This record gives sequence, C-alpha cells and structure tokens, in this order.
Amino acid sequence: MGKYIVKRVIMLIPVIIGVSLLIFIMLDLAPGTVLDQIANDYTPEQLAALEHELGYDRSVFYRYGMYMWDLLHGDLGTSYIYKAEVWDLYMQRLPATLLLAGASVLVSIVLSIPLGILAATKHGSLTDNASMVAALLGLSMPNFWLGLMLIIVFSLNLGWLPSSGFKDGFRSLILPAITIGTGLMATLTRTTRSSMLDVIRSDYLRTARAKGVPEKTVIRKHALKNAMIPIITVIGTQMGRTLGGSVVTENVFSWPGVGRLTIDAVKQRDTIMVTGCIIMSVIMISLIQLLVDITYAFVDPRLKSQYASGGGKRKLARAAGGGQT
Amino acid sequence: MQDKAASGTLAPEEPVLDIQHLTVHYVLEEETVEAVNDISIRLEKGRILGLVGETGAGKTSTALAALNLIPDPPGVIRSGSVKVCGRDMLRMSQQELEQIRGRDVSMIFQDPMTSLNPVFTVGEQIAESIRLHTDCTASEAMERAGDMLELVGIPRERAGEYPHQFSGGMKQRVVIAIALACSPKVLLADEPTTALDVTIQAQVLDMMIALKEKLDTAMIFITHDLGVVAEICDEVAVMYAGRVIERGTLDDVFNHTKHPYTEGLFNSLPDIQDRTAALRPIPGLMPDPTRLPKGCAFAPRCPYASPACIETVQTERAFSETHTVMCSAYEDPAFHIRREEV
Amino acid sequence: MKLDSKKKEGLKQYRKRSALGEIFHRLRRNKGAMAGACILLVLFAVALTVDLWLDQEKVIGMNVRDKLQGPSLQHWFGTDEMGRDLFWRVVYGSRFSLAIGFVAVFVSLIVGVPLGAVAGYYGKKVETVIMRFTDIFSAVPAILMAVVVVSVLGTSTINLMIAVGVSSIPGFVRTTRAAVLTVRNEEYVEAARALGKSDLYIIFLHVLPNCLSPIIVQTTLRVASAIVSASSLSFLGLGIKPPAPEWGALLTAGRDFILDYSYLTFFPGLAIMITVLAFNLLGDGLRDAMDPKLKR
Repeated sequence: MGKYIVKRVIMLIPVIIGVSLLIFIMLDLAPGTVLDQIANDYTPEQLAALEHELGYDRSVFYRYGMYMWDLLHGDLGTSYIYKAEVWDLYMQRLPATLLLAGASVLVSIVLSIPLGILAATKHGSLTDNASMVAALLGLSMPNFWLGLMLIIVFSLNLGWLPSSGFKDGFRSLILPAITIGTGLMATLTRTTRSSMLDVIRSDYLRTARAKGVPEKTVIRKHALKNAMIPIITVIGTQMGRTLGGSVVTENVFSWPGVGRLTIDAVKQRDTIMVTGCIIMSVIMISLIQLLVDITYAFVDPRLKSQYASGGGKRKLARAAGGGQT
Repeated sequence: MQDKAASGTLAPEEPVLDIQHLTVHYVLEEETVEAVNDISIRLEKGRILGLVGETGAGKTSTALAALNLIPDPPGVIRSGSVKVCGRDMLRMSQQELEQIRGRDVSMIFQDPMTSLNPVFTVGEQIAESIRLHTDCTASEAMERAGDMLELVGIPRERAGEYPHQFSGGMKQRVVIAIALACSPKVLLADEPTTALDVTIQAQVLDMMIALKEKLDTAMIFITHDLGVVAEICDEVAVMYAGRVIERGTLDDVFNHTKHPYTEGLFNSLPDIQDRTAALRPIPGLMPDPTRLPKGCAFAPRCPYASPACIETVQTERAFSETHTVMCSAYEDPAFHIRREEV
Repeated sequence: MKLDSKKKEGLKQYRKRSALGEIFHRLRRNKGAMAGACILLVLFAVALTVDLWLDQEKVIGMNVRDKLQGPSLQHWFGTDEMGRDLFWRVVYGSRFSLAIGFVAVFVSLIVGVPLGAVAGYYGKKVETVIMRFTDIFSAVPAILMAVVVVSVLGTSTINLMIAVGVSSIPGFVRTTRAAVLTVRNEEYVEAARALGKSDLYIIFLHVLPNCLSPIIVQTTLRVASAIVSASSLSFLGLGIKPPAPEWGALLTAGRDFILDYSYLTFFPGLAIMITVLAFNLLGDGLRDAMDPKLKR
C-alpha cells in the first residue's frame, strides 16, 4: 500500500510541471500583466524594481524557472494583488470549498443512488424512463439559472434560506449544495443504474434469491455492493471536480470558495495566484483519487488481494467496473 | 446399472415435488421462445430424477420455474402448477416464496464461477441461508456454515475467504453447501458437474449421493451426460424442445428405450467395445424454439418419421405404470425402434 | 437445394434491416430521444430562418412605455427594462446558442479526433505523449480552462466558441482513442496494411468510419454541455455581453431585476434548459441505440 501511494505521488510531479507550464505560458500570452493592476500603488521606480524582481523584464521561461525553484522549496509564491502568500490565501478559502463540495456530493448521492437503483430494478418501465429524464433535467439546468431560481423561490419569496454568503452556517449551505448536487445527479444516477443493471441479472443474485433472501436485501446488500465500484469512481471524480472550484455557483451565492479566488486571479493576470490555485486543485483531486482507490479495496475483496500483491490496481479497478469519462 | 434400475419402483406416497402442465415462454421483442411446453414431473422423497436433453431443451427453465425464479421479463409462466410439499410455488406471495426457497427447495446452479457473490466470504454466503430459515444467532449460523463446508470437503477455516480464492471445483462445492445448508426436501441440481474436470466430477457426484442418503433429499439432476444419469439416478425424463418425450425408471428408459430421440442419444455415445466405430450423431439441429411445429418437434430429424408426425399433436402413451413416451408412431401396434430389436 | 417459401421468409426477416436501419429503428422506439429530436428540429428551423420572418425591430426595438411588463398575451415572456419583448429576443437568441454549441464542438472535434485517432492507432510513444498531454490539459477544470483561453484571446463571440471548444478537447481525444483501440487490430485494418496503404489512408478510411458511433454520441452530448459552458461564461461576464440577445447574456441582464421581475431570468434559462435537455435526450438515445450491449 505504501509503495502504491509513493508511486502515485511520483506520478503527480509531471502533471504539476505540465499544468503549471501550460498556465504560465497561456497567461503570458494574454494582454497585460499583474503589474498593470497594481501600478497605482507604486511609484514608477518601485514598479521598475518590482518588474525586475518578478522577472517581467525577462522571458516567461525565466519567470517559470523562478516559480519552480520556489515551488521546489515548498513555496507557492506571493500574490501581488492581495500582497499575501498564495498558500495562506488558498487555505483561507479551502474550508468553504471543502464544505460545499462535500455537501453537494452528499446531495447528489442521496438523490441519485436510490433513483438509479429504482430505475434499474424497474428497467424499461415508466418509472425507469421518468427517473432518467429527471436526472437528465438536473444535468440540463445551467447551475447559475437553477441557483437564481432557488434564490427567487426560497430566499426572496419564502424567505426561508439566505441567498448569499457563508455566515449562516448550515442554512447558507443548503441552496448552493442543492444547485451543484442537482447538476451532478445525472451522471451518478446513470452510473448507478447501468452498474446495477449489469449486476441485477447476474448468476449470484439468482443464487441469493434461490436461498430465499428477501428481494429488498438482494438489491440493497448483494447487488449494491457489487455495483459500488463504478459508483465510487464517479463520486470521486465529482468530488474532485467540485473541489477544483464551482466557479459559477460560488458566483451566484457569493460563496467565498477557491473557484472565485481563481477566476478573479485570472482576470487580474495574477499568474502566481492562478498557478498556485490550479496546482492545489490538482493535488486535491489526486488525493481524492487515492482515497477512492483505497475505498475500492474495502468494497471488492478481489482488489484488496491485488493491492497486497502490488499489482496494477487502476487497470483492475477499470476491469472490475470502469468509470465514466 | 441393472441392480440399481431394478430397485426403481415407485412408492405410493405423496410426492415432494409435483410439477403439472408447466408452460414457460420467453416473450422477446419480436418473437416468443417456447422454452417449456406442458410438462409434468413427479418426484418422491429421497429419489433422484435425471432430467436429460440437449442444450436449449428447456431443462434449466424447468428447474427455475420450480423455484418460481424465471426472470421476468422476458420469462412468462403461461400455465401449470409447481407443488413443493403440497404447496403451489406459482401461486404464492413473494414472502411465502422467500420462506420456502432455500428451506424446502433449493438449487445448485450450473456455473460455479459466476454463482457466488464475489464480495462476500463463502462462510457469509452459506450462513445467510441458515440465518434466514432457522432461528439462530449469527455466530451459530457461521458455526453451521463451517459444518456445511466440512460436509462438502472444505476445511472450515476457509469460511472467511472470498470466492476468488477458491478453485472451480471448490466453488462448486460451496454452491452445493449453500443449496444444502438448510437440508431442503427438494434439490434441483443444474449440471452441477459440467463445469468441472472429470476427476473432480466423480468426487462431487459421490458427495451428492452421500448427502442424499444422509438427508433423504429428493433431487432433480439436470445433465446431458447419460453416464452420470446411469450412475446416480432412479428415474429419468428426457426432454426435447420443451417437452418430456420419454420418462420412466432408469431401467425403463435405458433398457427398454421407446422414443426415437432417446435412441438417438444412446447411439451417439462412443462405443467403448469398438473404439474405431464412427460416432452416430443425430442429424440436424433442434428446431427453432420460436417456431415449434404443431406436432412432434423431433420429426424433422427422426429416422422413423412419417409426414403425419409433424401435424399430429403428440400425446403421452403409457407402456407400463412407470414408463410413458410421447410418440405417435406407436399408434401402429407393430412399430418398434431398432434398439428394441436386439 | 431449392429454398421453400418458409425458409425464404425467415432469411428475409434476418436481412430486413441494415445496421444503420437497426440503429434508427431502436432510436425511434425511444420516446425521449424522439422528443429531443423534435425539439431540436423546431429549434434548428427557427434558428436558420429567423432572419427571414422576424422583424429586427421586434428584437431590438425599445419601447420605454412598455418596460418591465410581466408575461401577458401580448408579450408572452414579458418585456425588459428597455421595453423590448423578451419572447422575440429569446427566439432570436436561439441562433447564438446553437451556433456557439456547434462551432465550439467543431473546434474540439477537429483537434480531438485526429489526436485520439493517432494515439490509438500508433500506440507506444506517440500514444504516451498525446495521452499525458491530455491528462495535463484535463487536470485544469474545464470552466477555468475556458476562462483562461478567453482572457488570452479577448472577449468576443468567436473567442468564446474557441474557448469552450478548447476546454472539451480532452473528452474527444479519450473517446476517439478508446474507440480506435477496439478496431485497431481488426482484420480489415490488417488487410489494408498488407495492401500497403498509407497510415493516414487507413486511419481516415478504415479506422475512423468504424469508430463513428461513440464520436457521434460524444458530439451530441458535448453540444449540450458547450451551450451550458458558453452561457456560464456569459454569466461570468466573459462571454457575450448584453444587449446581444444570447440566452446567457439575457439572463445575466435580468439578474439586476431579480427581486421584482424574476421572469427576466426565468425564461432565458428555461430556453437553455430545454435546448440542452433536447441534446442530452437525443445523445442518450443515440448511445443506447448504438450500443448493442444495452439491447435487451
């Protein structure tokens, strides 16, 4: 297991290098630099000194080299817009993002898994079709629109829940979490349904029925545990994606999350900040992926023995279930 | 074989399994597969019936119907009754069914590789059945699951292992242990040895006979291996295209064969005395089960068939108290098949 | 041997439908997909011909006296703060949303499919390089990637299309590669190779035509998500700006009046939702129709 984790961390390094280089170069192609944004705060001399310090008088590769050198020392750099460490800024926003991502995925799980199971057990029926259309409806609603509609109904008209911010704790979490969760529903419901359909006609469920296991237990215990691998894969992917920042929803609800921090930084050409945020979200996503891989072992004993023998588990995980892209 | 067959007289007691006029169809998008057509089977306590026939003859569907486990859709039980210990499985609530399955009647499935749930230990899978049908605690159930494993020749320490840690033959034993966990009165064994290699086949067969003797279970043994039938069965029913075309005691069917199809089955066995003799397979294929003829489904392949066979609706004809055949050729009193000549 | 009439009939039954016919037959039985297709037909008809029959005055003509009227028989979706009829603006806006969806997906198609095909066909190092690059590319969340591209290129309709297109390239690379891998070693490909055809010829004439179904499905579904992404960018102020009647922009403009005139945000969003739902329904239907595994 330890060896596996180390391998995963090593695999992360080229991705971080690639992503940061990509972002660095692309943002460099954009007109303007961070200096234009902060020019008013400095005298021309200071600005010239800063330009030299930040490497804006040299090529983008020089600046990238500087950045990587700092990164190698565990330093994500300093944002000149906020005049603060990128790490600190990111960590300030992370709890809100984690909370929202967790709550959204939870909403999605609570809605999708029962719906997917229902659709699979009533395969081909009206219920099946209705569930799938309901799930697709969730996918088809633009997040910002759903968010605004929820605000109109529950905040402005009924006055039940706050429309923005982070201050009301759990109550302010509800609407944004439903907004994102509804969007995630389609994929998770579909995955649950197709995964359950694969399992539902399997011989071992017939064995269970022949033993006299009640149908409910057949579905909830015997079938669901077998159908879990693709479901967990999708949950992991969705968790990762929401952690990267749900830019639009954060915008609608003025949620103080990482997504808005990143977008604002892009708008302000704060290359260091953008790169830092994206690197952090890459790291978060692979942490989640690692967690997912470890969960596989608890769900499927065949994978556990693969871990023990140190074989290629991604390949196996895919063989056992396969995720959706 | 001779001795065994001779002992096969029917006891006049109430059958533990009584299938009457069972018809099972699979209704697909554009066609209907007529898998089982009006078959009736009776089985007394402690007896083994061999259900013989080619792949696709409807053997497995018959067994599944006996548990009311035909996948629906597409399967539809059109008519008939299946009485287990006097109670009709086809007219029972889901709850009653769940009580009877595994306790009074259980089934050994064909493919041991896919019949075990990969995410639960074999012990759990055996114990589950015991917990469902007897009043005992989880640890007692696990204890008895261990006993069952030992009964089928697997050390009880392996109860905590998962199916993928077992070989094919071991898995089949586990499947058998699950089926036998609550000492059912009726056991449906669907080709329990087909997936195994020959040496293990013999072991499993011996074990099943021993178990039958110990638990006095009535058994339907589905196979297409006539050798196995001769070895363990008391009675035989031969199925073709969803119908039982010949049935009787082992002696009736093996030594006094009446139906041309049964004859064809025996003829297609390799002759151990004359190893150079060419095999004599039955020409042709089973008819398309979506378009069965009105009359005898075997007629197109039958060496004795007359044009009338395909049109005449076949009825059962009794040759003795135990031996019945479905062949209209016997309307001519002089008719006999070649096997009877010797 | 002469076939009797019964056998002939049987043969005819098996040959009745071609592969394409079979897909179409299955698609037609899928009510959702058919509903989606009908909605899309109407939308296309409207978007393509709207210039011919819709008076521009109705779309941009201001009439301050009628401003901020709620939905009524005269103004189905009400009027905005300039007194413009929202219904006609939404109708006219269909051109933007559909065009953005299609052009954006076209951009990712022409980049993603060849890359995926080359990766899948050649394998080895070429594949590794392309796939690692794809991994890196998709490590950046799609919406962020689109935002970065827009800020590099500047805000305009064309740039919005490119940005949305670029951000969905990885999906096409993966889909195409996966499909190519399944046919790469088929005998007809081997045969073409044995005949000495060039790799390019084989990829485009033998491999890709046999990988069409997943690519078509992916395209349909991606158009749906491209429309959502584009309107999201408009919403973030990085796409099409009001007063252009693009749906995302209409909705954003309505946000200022959300407290009292919520219909201004409701109807444009509804239009987006229905369009996207139609693409999703059709895409899902196509997937089911083309995937024989699901035929049951």
